[in-house]
Amino acid sequence: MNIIFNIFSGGVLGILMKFVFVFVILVHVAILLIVIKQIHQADRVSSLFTHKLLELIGYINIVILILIVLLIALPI
Amino acid sequence: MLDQPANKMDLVRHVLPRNDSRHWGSLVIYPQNVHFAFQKKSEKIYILTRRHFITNSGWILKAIFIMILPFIALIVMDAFLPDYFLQLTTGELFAGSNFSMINVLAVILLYYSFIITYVWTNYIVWFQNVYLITNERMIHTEFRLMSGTKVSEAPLDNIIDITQETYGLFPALFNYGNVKVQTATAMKSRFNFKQIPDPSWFRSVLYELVKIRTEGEP
Repeated sequence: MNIIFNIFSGGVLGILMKFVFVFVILVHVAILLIVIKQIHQADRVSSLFTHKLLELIGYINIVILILIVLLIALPI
Repeated sequence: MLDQPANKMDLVRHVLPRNDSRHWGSLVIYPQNVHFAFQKKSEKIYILTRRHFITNSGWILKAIFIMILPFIALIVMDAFLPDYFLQLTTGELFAGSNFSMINVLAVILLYYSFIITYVWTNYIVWFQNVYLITNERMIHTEFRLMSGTKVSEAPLDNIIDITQETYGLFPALFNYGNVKVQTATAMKSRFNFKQIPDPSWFRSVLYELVKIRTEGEP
């Protein structure tokens, strides 16, 4: 079982895995930003509060993803 | 109601007496705070409808299952691999590797972040895909994720045929179905209201609104 965790965190393979991990997160952030922009530009089919709430959920998700990158990247 | 005489508005009020929201926001009569691009000042929205909320049950159940999957895995692990479960919960499993609890936290956060995105995007697609019936026209705003929005519209005057379809167990059980509207344009295009709630009510109301619009009486 330790081999699995070592692949993820040590050596060249570990760095590669981290790179893939961060890349996936960045793609995820890009998708979220595009969708937020789409919501922003879309017709308002509900109250302003609901509209902004939907955007806010997207931004919260981006914050979570940035936190993940920090957790991986920072040597804590 | 600047462009409509008072009696026409009374007739509309007879068909749609008050503002109402049904089926978890799938059908809203006289929706408040709704605006669309190129809306005329005199244009009033009578009905806002979208797919019945129950049509979201597929992705909602999937999301719930994915959400509880790690807990199911832990329960199974506890039942069949109790040693590994104990090592995992105490952190002993990572001993001797560079994998720390911070990494575990990152993986868990990423997992649930994907689920949030899955739920969020599916909800937005359902929420933003709307059909509007105004005093002048019917509009379909089709929200396509990552690729833009498609808007179709047809004037109420051009409606020549309204067909209602309710096929299947779920539509019969939860009272939703399709309403197809044929317009008298050169292309004889069809306007398809997909999986909308209460289709028979919608069909009759649309018929009355068209009649008021064209003839002035229901």
